[in-house]
Amino acid sequence: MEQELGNATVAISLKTALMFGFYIMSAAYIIFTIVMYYHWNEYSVNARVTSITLITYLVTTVPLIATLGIIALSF
Amino acid sequence: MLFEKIEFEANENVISTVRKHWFVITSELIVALMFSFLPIVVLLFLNSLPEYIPLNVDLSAYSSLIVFASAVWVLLTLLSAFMIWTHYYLDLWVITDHRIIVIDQIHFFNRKVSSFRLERLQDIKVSINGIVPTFLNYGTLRAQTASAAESNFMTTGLPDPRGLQSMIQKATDERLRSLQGTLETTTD
Repeated sequence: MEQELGNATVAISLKTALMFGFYIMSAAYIIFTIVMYYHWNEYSVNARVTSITLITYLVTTVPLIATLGIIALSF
Repeated sequence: MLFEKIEFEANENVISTVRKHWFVITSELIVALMFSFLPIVVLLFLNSLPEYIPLNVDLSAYSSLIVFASAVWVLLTLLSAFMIWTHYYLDLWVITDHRIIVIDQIHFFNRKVSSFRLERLQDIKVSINGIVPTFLNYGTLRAQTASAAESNFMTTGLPDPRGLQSMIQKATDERLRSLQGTLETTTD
C-alpha cells in the first residue's frame, strides 16, 4: 500500500517573525528587569552601588529594546 | 537593604565585608564583552571574504535584519554581564565580632545564607592554587565549625585569603576572651 505524503510548508512573513522576536525579547527583558531590581533592592548592602547599577542597566539596555521595537514596527 | 534584614545582636559590629577578588569579575566581564562584539566580527569577516569565495547574498538588502539580530545578541550578552555583576556583588562574607555570615548567590533563584558563631569555629583553611591566584593573592577559604560534618563553609576567589584568615582568627580569639570574661563575671 502506497501512501503519499505531501510536503507541508509553513510560511510566515519576515515582519511577523521580527514582531514575534521583539515580543519574546521584551517579555524576557521585563522579567529579567523585575528579578534584577528585586535582588538589588533586597540584598544589596550599598544604596549607591544599587542606584549606579540599575541606572547603568537601564541606560545600556533600553536603547537596545527600543531599537528592536523600531525595526520590528517599521519593517 | 541586606543589613536591615540581618538581625544583628546587641553590641555586634561588622568588622569587614568581603567579596571575590576583582580579577574574578573582570575576567568574566571581559569574556561577556568579547561575546558582544561577535556580530561585528562576523560582519567584518563576511565583508573581507576574497572574491573567489562568492557570497551570493547582498548583505545591504538585509541591513534591518542584521541590526535586529545584532541588537538581540548584544542585549543578551549585556543581560548576562549584569547577571555576572549581580552574582559577584551579592555574593559576600560578612565578618562581625560575633559571627560570620556567608551569602552565596549561586543563581538568581538560588541563594544560600549561612552563619556560624566565631566561638564554634574549629578550623580555617586557605588554599591558593595556580599562577594568577598566587601573583594576585586570591584563593579559597574553608571554615569548619564544631557542629555537624556538613558545616563547612567554602568560597573561592577571595582576596588576600591569608589576611582574611588572620582577621577571622583574631576576631575568634577576642570573642573567646570576651565570653570567658563574661563567664568569670557571672561566676563571681
